[in-house]
Amino acid sequence: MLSLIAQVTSAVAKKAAHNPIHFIIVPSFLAAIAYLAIVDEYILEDSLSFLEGSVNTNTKSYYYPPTDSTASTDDWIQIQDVNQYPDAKRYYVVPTKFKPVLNHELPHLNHTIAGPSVFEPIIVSETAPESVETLVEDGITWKLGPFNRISKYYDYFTHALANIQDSIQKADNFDIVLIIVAYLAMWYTLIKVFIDMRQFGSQFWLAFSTLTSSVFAFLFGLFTSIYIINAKVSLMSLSEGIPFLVAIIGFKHKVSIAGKVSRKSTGSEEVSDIVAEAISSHTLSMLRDHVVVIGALFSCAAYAHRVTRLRNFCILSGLILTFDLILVYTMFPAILGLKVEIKRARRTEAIQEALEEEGISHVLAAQVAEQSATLEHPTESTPFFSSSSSILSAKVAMTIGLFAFHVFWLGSSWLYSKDDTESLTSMLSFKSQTEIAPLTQLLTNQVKVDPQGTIITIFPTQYYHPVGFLVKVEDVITIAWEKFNDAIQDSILSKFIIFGLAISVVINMYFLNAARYQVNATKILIEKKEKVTIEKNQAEQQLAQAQQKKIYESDDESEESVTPREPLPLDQCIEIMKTGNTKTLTNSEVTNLVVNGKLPLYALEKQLGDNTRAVVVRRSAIAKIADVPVLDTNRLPWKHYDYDRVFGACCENVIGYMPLPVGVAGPLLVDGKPYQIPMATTEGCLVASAMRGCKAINAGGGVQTVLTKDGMTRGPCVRFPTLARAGAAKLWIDSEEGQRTVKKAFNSTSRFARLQHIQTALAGTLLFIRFRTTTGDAMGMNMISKGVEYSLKYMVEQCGWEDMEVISVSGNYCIDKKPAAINWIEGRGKSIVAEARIPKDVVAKVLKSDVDALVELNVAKNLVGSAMAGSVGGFNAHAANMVTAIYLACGQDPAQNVESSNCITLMDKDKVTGDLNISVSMPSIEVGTIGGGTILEPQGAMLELLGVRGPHPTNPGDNARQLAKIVASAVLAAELSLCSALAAGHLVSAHMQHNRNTPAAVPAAAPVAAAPVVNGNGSPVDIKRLQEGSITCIKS
Amino acid sequence: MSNLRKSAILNATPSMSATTTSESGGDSSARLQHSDSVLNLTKPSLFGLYDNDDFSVSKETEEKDMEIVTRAQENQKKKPTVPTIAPQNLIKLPLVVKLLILSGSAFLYNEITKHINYKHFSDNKLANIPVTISNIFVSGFLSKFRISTYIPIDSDVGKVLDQLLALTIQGAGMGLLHPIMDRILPTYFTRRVLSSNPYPTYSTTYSNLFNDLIRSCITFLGISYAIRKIEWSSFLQVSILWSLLNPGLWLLLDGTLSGFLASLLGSFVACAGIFVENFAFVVLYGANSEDSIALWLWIASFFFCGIIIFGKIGRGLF
Repeated sequence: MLSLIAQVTSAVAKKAAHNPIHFIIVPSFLAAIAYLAIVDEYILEDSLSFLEGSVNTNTKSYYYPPTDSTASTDDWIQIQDVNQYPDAKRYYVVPTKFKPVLNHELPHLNHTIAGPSVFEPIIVSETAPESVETLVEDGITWKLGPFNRISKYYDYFTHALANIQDSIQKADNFDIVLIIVAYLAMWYTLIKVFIDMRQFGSQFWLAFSTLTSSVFAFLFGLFTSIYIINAKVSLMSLSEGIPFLVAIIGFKHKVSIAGKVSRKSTGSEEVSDIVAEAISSHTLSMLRDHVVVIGALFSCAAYAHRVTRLRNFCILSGLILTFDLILVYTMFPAILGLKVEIKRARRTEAIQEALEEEGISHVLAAQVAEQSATLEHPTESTPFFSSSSSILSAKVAMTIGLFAFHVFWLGSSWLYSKDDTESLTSMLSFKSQTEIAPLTQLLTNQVKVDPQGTIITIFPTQYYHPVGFLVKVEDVITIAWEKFNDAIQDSILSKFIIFGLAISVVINMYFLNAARYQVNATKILIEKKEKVTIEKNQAEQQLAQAQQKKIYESDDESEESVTPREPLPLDQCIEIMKTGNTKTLTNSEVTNLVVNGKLPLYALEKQLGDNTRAVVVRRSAIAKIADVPVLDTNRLPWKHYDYDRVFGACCENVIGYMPLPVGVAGPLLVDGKPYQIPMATTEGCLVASAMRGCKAINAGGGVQTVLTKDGMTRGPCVRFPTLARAGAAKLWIDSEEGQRTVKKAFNSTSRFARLQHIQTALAGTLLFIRFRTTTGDAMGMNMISKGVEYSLKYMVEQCGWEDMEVISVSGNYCIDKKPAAINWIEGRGKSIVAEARIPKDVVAKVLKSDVDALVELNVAKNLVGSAMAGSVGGFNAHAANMVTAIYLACGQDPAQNVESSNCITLMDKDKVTGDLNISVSMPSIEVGTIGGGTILEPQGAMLELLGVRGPHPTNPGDNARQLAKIVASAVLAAELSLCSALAAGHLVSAHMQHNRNTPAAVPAAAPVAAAPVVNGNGSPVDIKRLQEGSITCIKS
Repeated sequence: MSNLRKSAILNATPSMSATTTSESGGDSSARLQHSDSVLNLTKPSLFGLYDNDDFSVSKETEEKDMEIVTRAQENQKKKPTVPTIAPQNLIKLPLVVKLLILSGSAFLYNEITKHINYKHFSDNKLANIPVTISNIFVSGFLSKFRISTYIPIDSDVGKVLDQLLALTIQGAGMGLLHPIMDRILPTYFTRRVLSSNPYPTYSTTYSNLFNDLIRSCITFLGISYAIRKIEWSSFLQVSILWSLLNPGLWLLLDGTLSGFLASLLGSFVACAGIFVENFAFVVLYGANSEDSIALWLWIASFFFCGIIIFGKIGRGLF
């Protein structure tokens, strides 16, 4: 039963996540309708409350006793009952206001006297006034209505405030405290949603939509209770009960669901599956809570049905919770699904942007980004972001959604049409409470005082405003400013307007941006893909032909049977090439062109328009030119490779690719997380050695790493005419102001690069400036070069260093790919220290050594030995081995192993436990998880193995830093293993008669030494074979 | 010969044969397969260093490795998915402070319950007689914790201390019931029933505990507000409604079997205590069965609800 419910709910959620737009817009519309209906209900309730008294309460009457003297305002007495003075002459006064309209005559009203201004005449008549609904004058229709909307809201507000004050005065102190506590708890609960959601990387939207869905549930509940069950809850009980309800029910399930979804959102599952899974996993808990509360509420309502207030509120709460539950299975998954999809779309865009910053062409970047997106989410069907037509529909849907949203915000403005049809009295009565003009001198002066006594009854002010499109248009311009002022002045409404506007603008920007980026990327990709597939087909055909040709050639058969035509003569080929149709030529013809020097090798890609074909042609051309038939064979592989990725980014003049064996060592616990570390190497034993190191480290609890610095450097060289200027420039750059100025200029060039520090060194009139910046997840050399170039230009143009001459953007003060002390001392890229503790029994059992021997060996070899050799940063056994192997496997720049391998290995014995403490400090690991070789598929796959492919979804740079930590940890493992092998060897050799394999360490000496080797356990057969083998080897 | 070297030879063979095929034909390469000298010719420098070393991975270490990985992965999962709100500080509070918190909560609780009843006094005197009785019962029961009931205390300071002591005993008694039951009963009882939360540990984090505590308190306040504000027709109605709500509250706020048992036990013990104490009066009063039912339901609910809330505090503190 329960599992059935879980299945059903997850199916519904899946559907909702699959069609998020429908599932969001439909409830939004319904909520908007419910809202309007409810607002209507509650506002009518308010106006009715105004009407409670008789109509007379809406007017004020003043009585002037019979006298001859001239009237003064002070002598007028306000009276309640007009009928007390039957003899008195009665005047009815209706102050009237016209909405100011420029350049138009105001309509004429009967019995008017001049009011305070032209637009405010006062009607004074001796008969009861009849309001005139519409007036026509000068082509403008004037309609009776509320003066402006803002004041209406203001009235609501003041009324509500008065109500609250009233009820507070009536209530018991203890009750007030209770209510205040409940409100505090409610606000805590609401704010907690935002705080909790922040932990899942959503600043605002997730929490906001969570609350929105609950508000919708509230609206639906209210609507149902009022119109269907007919159990209306008064505003008072609502304001008392809702805080309790909110605080008791809370949002923890929604937060938990959202958390689960957002944790999984970076995974490879389909969005709707993730959402469905999250929902179904929470079904039971949520049902339990909701069903319990709903049951309790309804049974309360049933049991205490005579207590109307309680019953109604219980019914309402039960309904709200029921709707909430329904929305959790429909609208909430839709929101989550949409959120995840947008997140993924944005990620694709982020990858692309980062790649472009790394200097990779737009199309390629888009392609890589898109592919990585599909790799990450292979089953993604992208329900509405997939093609441009569906984007259009998505946009339309968004617009509708926005419209609904606006209606929602400004929903009550629709009510005006209703107000107009209502009777004058109800409208006036509404206004009456706050606005009845006082009796003014102006008025009393104009009214003739009757000897029998006079009564003036003042009615509430009536407002006329013009109707008519033309006038409105005309008016809008002149009044816009005034209206705007009004709106600003109104304290409540202005905030709502601004808030609503801000929200709609942000939503617009957000969605449209997402859609736009997607459009660009998708369009280009579609074009590109079409092109590529067509060309690939062609290329494949031609390749097939070429291969067949080759076979036939080798069999000495004529070509005619397979090729459609004879190879064209060279002249003709040149002609075709000049017309730009090189593509149409066969491979052998193009090769012929190349061999004859008519077509440069580097231009093949451009001329052929197909990177793979260019590789084929280039191989055969070089085979001919250099007379190296090996390129005609398949010994250097070239097939099954995506050369599109290579061209323009990784390599030129491509003739194939070099396969390298990739081994894996692991698991290695790095900061508590296991990693399988890929290594591309041709050196035997390396992986096995690292593997053993990993085991020993794991047995001790894994590696702990610390990142001490993260900043790529670039050190341009500039020259000044005089030493004085050079010195001044150095001082300026070193000063706070200089640092700040250059930083500002630098940071403006990139989204990721943030300048950390500028270090300078002066050599004569040459000034070297070392920029250190963060580079996100990219290794960052391209990014930083751009920034440096701009910064230098900025210094020359804006900072008064016109005489500065930039000699080179890279002045080797960086210093890149060359051994130098500055990287060792100052660090470059990521500076990592990794440490592990190896229990002494593990040292003995796994490493077959002992702690003392290891420590001694480390001091003698890695510290003293390297010092004796005059090493800089080479205080390690073989850090470069691991660094290079991982770099090759993970698409890093292998040449950067020069400084990346800077490492000092330290070991000591724990004084208490006798365990081994080993650490490696590597100040300059230069890695990136985006750009460079990582865009190639195999290298990207290896990064994925480590879980650091591409940019980090939330915190740019974390992936690269993690990779650096992994490199350092692997180095630690390898150092440990090698040092213990050496230490063990030392131990063993002390007991051994001879070191029979010493020559093996020197391959050159091997052939000589191999023959006399006496294998300890070799049988005569073995020895014989061995001898044969060595003879063969020597021959070869 | 070490395993590593054997495997190295095996690995080396294909490439060897590949490179030698063109030169020396296939036959010799087949024979070369297990030759050591070939290895000596081609093996890299590291081999020399590792020569006397054994990389062999025994079954035992291999398994241990997997164990390590699984454990690490579990730890990763276990890592609090929702950062806690300063739970360490809370748990490291000195005992005195913990007891003070408990006594303070007890004080607030008593005050609130008093207010629930007092309101009724002023409203409708007749209908509130049972409430008055129950209130007297409860306060009489609670006053047993005071020393002054047994030995007269004159000084003001003494009275305050006495009051404090009584509150502390009350708070500790109600607050410690849950943690004690948690310890005694098997773990199954301390797990939330009917829960499908994928992160079972989540519900024990302090942040969540704090949330639950707030929810519990608000629930209690909400009930007291409802009791005060709504025009009930009889005392029995309120009592039945509250006692009906209680299991729901337990499922919503606590949901552990041990909690349920503790609350049930606590309220039963308190009822029994009150019954024994006021035996004579109860027998007399019991003539009107409706009122006595309402009375016992009320008292039981009072303690049941209170123990759930104090259980939250107690679990958070201890």
